[in-house]
Amino acid sequence: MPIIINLDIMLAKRDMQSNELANKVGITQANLSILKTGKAKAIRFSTLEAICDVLECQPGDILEYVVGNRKT
Amino acid sequence: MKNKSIAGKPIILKSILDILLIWLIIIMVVTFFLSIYLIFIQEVKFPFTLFEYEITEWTTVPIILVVLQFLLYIGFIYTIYLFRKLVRLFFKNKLFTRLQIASLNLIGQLILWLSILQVIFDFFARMFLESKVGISTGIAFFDSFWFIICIGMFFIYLSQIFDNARILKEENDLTV
Repeated sequence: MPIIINLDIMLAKRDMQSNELANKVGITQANLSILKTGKAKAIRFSTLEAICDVLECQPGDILEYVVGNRKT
Repeated sequence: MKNKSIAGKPIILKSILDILLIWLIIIMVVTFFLSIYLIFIQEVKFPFTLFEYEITEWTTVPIILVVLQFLLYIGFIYTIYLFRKLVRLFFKNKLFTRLQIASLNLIGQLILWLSILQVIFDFFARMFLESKVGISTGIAFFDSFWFIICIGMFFIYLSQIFDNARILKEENDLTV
């Protein structure tokens, strides 16, 4: 998928664990894992807003578009 | 996200299918052994009605026709078995699975083709056993040929709808 989720980088910067982020955002660990591993098909604005709020960052810090990174 | 049950469980449908399947198997076994008895006990000469056809003597043609009708009957029982299995899958609160999609398609195909084969069989059976020529494809009630064909095609179409729903559900499940 051309959109890459850089959650691990932000989690490391904020010194936060995945389960802590999932609890604060209000999603399950499984869903967070889907997001981190790039399997997610879509993300709700409400979820993105909650992640940015918790990690104190911009959407662009988490989402990155990489040209040519398309699954065949 | 937990899968919530969006509809009640089809308990009555499941029960009817369970009873129907058991009865069909019993009837088939009894009819099978009765046919074997009639074919191989040469002393029995009285006319016998089997699958709605009166058989006065057990020559090659009636035996072949009975065997073919049995095969169609087994196909019908298998269709009911698949239908029962499909309904049981709905009890697991999982919808739009690949197994359900494949089952719906297969049930539809079986209804469609077995109905057509039955009409063809009836044509030849009537010709050889009753010396009559004709095709019976009534339209008057729920057991009419054309209605059953529609039901078969509906199952096939439902399978395609389920497949579309599976894709939508997958996308929804992967939406965080």
